[in-house]
Parts: sequence; C-alpha cells; structure tokens
Amino acid sequence: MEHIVVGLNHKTAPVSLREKLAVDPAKLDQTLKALVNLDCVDEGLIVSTCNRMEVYAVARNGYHCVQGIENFVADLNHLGLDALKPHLYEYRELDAIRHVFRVASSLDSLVVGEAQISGQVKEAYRKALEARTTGLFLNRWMHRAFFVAKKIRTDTKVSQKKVSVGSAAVELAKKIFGDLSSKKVALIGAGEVAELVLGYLESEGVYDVSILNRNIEKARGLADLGLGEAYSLDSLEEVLHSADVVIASVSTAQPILGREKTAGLMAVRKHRPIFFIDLGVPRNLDSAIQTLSNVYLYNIDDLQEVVDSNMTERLSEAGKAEILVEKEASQFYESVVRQVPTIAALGKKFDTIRRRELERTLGKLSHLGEDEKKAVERCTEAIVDKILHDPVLILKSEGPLRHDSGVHELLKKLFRLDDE
Amino acid sequence: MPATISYSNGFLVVLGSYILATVFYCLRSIFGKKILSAIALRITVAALIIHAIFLGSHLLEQGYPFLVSPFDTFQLVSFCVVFTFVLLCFLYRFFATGLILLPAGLVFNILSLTTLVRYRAPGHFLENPWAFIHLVFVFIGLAVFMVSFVVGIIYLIQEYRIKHKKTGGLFERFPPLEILDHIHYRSLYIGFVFFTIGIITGGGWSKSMVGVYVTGDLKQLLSFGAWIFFALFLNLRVSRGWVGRRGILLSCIGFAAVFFLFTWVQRL
Repeated sequence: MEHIVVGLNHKTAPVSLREKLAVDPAKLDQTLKALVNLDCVDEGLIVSTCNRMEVYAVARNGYHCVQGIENFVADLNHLGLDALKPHLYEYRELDAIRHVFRVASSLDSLVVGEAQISGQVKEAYRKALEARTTGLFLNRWMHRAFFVAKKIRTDTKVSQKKVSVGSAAVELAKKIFGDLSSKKVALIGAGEVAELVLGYLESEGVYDVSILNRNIEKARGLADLGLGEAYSLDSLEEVLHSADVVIASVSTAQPILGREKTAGLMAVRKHRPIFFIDLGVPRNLDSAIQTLSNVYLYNIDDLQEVVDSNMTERLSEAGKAEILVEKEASQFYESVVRQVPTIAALGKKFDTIRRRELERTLGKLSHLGEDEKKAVERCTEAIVDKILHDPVLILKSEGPLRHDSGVHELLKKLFRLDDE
Repeated sequence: MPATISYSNGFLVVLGSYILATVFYCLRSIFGKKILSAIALRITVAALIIHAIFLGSHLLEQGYPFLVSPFDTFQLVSFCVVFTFVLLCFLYRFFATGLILLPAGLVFNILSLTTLVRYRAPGHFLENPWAFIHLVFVFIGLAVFMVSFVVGIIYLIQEYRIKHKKTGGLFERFPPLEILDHIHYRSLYIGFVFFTIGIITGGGWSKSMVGVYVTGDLKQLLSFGAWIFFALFLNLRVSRGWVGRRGILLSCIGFAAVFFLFTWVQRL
C-alpha cells in the first residue's frame, strides 16, 4: 500500500500548460472514476485549481503506479508524456503525505498562508467522496491533512495577515493608483476568487464596483451584498470606458478582450491608465493588450512577483509551520502506513487461524445444535479479541512503541505476517 | 565686490548637512527603517533654514548686482531644488525622492563652490533691476522644472518596472504611479508659471537696456520656442492622449532638449 502524489503546480509549469490540464468540473466525476479504474490505483482524488493539478492516490504498487498515473494525466488533454514530464513531480510514501499536508496548509501556495487552497482541497475531497473513489486510506490521509491545516492556522501566524492571489492583485493596483477608494473597479466573473477579491477591495475603501457576469443573476447576488452594480457581460465595453481596475476571473475558452478592442477602449478613455488583473485559467485576456500604452496586465503567474516582495516576513512563520508539518507527516506515516497494516495483518492472521480451527472442531462436533455452534464461535472470537486487545491498544496509543518501526518488523517476523 | 566669491564657512556647513542627510536617505533605503528618513528630513530642513539665512546675508552683503557669478546662481538653484523637495516631503510623504533630488541639489551646491564653471556676467547688464527679477524667476523655474524632470524619470523607471513585472529593490519604496504623475505635472505647471514670468521680465530687461522687447537673438528665440512647446504640451496633453508614460516621456525629452540647447547657446 503506497501513498502517491503526481502533479504540477505554478512552480513547475507555466499557466499556458496548467490551463490545458485544468479538469472541467462537469467531467470530474468521470475523470475520478477513470483514475481508480487504473489497474494499480485503489483510491484517488484530483485537485484542480488555477495554480495546480494534482492526483492523490493510494496504490498497490508504488513504482509502476506512478508511471500509470503520469500517463493518465498526460492523456487528460492528449498531451504527450514527453512534453509533460519535465513539469511533473511525483512523491511517494512520506514525501507524498508531507506534500499533501503542505498543500492543505497553504505552505505550497503561490501566496504562503492564503486561505483559498484549504477550501479547494476540501472541495476536491468532497467531489471524490461523491464519486466514491476514496477509501479507508485516502479518508484518513485527507482528514489528517485538514487537521494539520487547521492546527497551522491556529498555532502559527502564517495565515494571520490576509494575503492571497486576490490581495496580491489589490496590492499591485495600489502601486499604480495609490489610494484605491476613489477608483472604479470592474469585476468580471462572480466565482469564489472574485468574491474574495471583492472582500479585499472593500477593505481598501473601494465603493464603486461594477460586477459583470454572463449570468446576471449571479452578478446581482454579489451586488446585493452592498458593493456596486450588476451588469451582464455584454456591457463589458461600456463599463471599461470608466473603470480603472479590471479583475477578470471568468471561465472561458477564448479571451474576452483582445488587443484591437482594448486599443479602441483606450482612445475613448483618453488613455487614462487601466490595470487588468487576469485571475482566470484559461486566461481571460489576450496577453497582447499589455503592449498598449498605459495598459497594465498581470496574469496569475505575474502575481508571483508581488507575492515575493511580501513574503519575507511570512517566511519565519512558514518555517514554524514546516516543522509542524514534518512532525505530523512522519507521525502519520508511522501510524497509518506502518501501524495500520501491522494491526490489520495481525487481526487477519488470528482470524484465519480461528476460522480454520473452528471449522475443524465444529466438523467433529456434529451433534451440536445451531445455538451451541454459534456460542462456540462467539467464544473463539472473544478469545482472539482478548488476546489482541492489549497489543493493539499499545500499538495504537501514543508511546515509544507506536513509532518504533523495529516493533512492527518484529511482529511481522514473529507471526510471519508477510506470508499472508 | 561680486568678483571675489566668499567661501564662507557657512556654505560649507550647509553642504556638509546636505551630504549627511543624503547618507541618511541612503541608509533608509538600505535598512528600511522609517526613523532614518525622519532624521534625514530634519537635517535637511535645518540645513535649508541655515542655507536661507546664509543666502540672504550673502545677498545683502553683496548688494547689486546679484547672480553675476556661478556661485550665486548655483547656490540659488541648489536652494530651490532642496526647498521643492522639502515641500514635496510634507505634501506627499515623498521621502524616497530624497535619494535623487537631494543629490541633484548637492551637485549645484558643489558646482557653486568649485571653479569648474566660470563665467562673469558683464556688471552693467545686471545693474538693471529687471535683470535680477528676470534671473531669479528663471532660476526658480529651472529648479522646479528640474524637480519635475527627476520625478518624471522616476515615473518612467517605476512604470517600466510595473509593466515588465519587476519588483523589489530600491524602487519598491517609491510612491505609486498616479502620485508621481500628479507631482510631475503639478511641478511642470508651477515651473511653467515661473518660466513665463521669467520671459516677460526678460522682455522688460531687454526693453530697458536696448529699447525693444524682442531683440531676436538666439537665446530669446530658443526661450520662445521652449515656452511654446510647454504651453502646447500642457494644453494638449489630455486631448491628445499624452498621458501616463507617453506624456511624461515627451516632457522629459522636451526639458532635456531645452536644457542642453540653453547650455550650448550660453557657450556661443
């Protein structure tokens, strides 16, 4: 049994590649089922956000399975594995467990300590639960990851300062415009990220917000929160005549704004500066628009720049969080990956012996009635349970034996557990 | 006695204080401690007050004609640059410019104390009161234009960095583009007003010396040309879309061209 992570993120792959691998939410269920249909994969989960695409799997044969999952990821968008391979990372066992803990705790994020990723991983887990592609091991793994994430949020200051991709974007806007409170902001798309950005803008005193969405009802929903007016996406140009900051995070296959259209807009605006923040993957805005004068365009990768300048003070806190993750990961690895199989194998061995002996004995005692037979069976069960009670309790409880891999090895040898 | 330059110790104290303040601004940029820029600003303000006192007493001591030597003019320009910087600091909390404006003031201050630039205006020209008024406005205008130019250059660098996604470093602490843009144009307008008054008083000087307002010499033509350039620029910049980078680039090129042309004409 092996814990495996295969994937890519903002550090290893550019947005142009990540957008190709983003899993369509409508097809996630089907994709998850295809994942666990791979020969070696028992349990699986897919995290697909704008910054990462990762597969978490529990597998029977670690090495071959990594290759199987890599091929699976490459096939998702008919990309050749050769082209994809340099951007992929793979983690197994302790490394995989540690990686998932770090991701859920937002230590592996673009903005360390940002709050979105924890929710996104939870959502991915919920989707996997719905698709019934999780099991005992993945459940334990993910629950532990959420526990560790919560612990890090409360025990360290890594998430105390509200920083995320959204707030990094707002900070950039401040670098161009200074005081944002008098600026007009257009928010295209009413997704989760868009709502977060809105929150950051509110804290900067922004009150003039135009909220655009394909679905005007969604836009109205946000507008009803007290910020700005709702527009349909058709009024995009009209809104952009006066907006200063444009935050785009809508899911679209084609860019919603190209260079020529923007050049026309700039003429109407008398070339007043405009700041586009493209949070969407695939990208919402044609990257050619940044060649226009007084047009500033940052996509999700570019935000890394801003993030870096804010990062220094968070790093010491992140250091504490890393120590916590390391401790939790190795504990979990020891307890689940080593202890659970030992206990399970021990239980299975004793039960096999019990069943075999019970069968032989009951065969000789044919005069017994059904009730008596059941009483004998219960008696054997009770004997096995009582024998195993103390050792299992000691192995499970916090103490020196729990993390002593020698004990697990000894048990395996003493009871020939590997032969089963 | 205008011919002998009084290398009074007072001006050296002023120069030393400006250098000290510049050092503190450098330290502020390196270590990022706000207290350092607060100290630097206090030193600058104290030095500026001393500068004003010495400049005033020098003027009184020398009497007419003033501004006949490089010492007088460079001291005045240096004072105006530092004064504008202090004004900006209080208006916009604009400490980071200290790193560039203060050294600019320093350059003029040091130039005034050396013999690198030598000229001697003919005394009889400057005995006319028009000359003094004309030169004071022209040099104040020059100092304010200089501030506008420096802020414009900072804008261009900052704009380039934002556009090309470069962060961190010294420019991290510089103000937002919109404020730089605002300071650039505000100082350009103020400089233009001084420059205009300088041209009018120059006409008055010409009238009282040679009897006509416009003599048509190269310097006058150049001044008119520069005035028309900035007048057109300031009026047309919004309607022509010369805002942001394009506008500032144009005004900076204009300023640099005018500055070099004047220096060239001066040498003829």
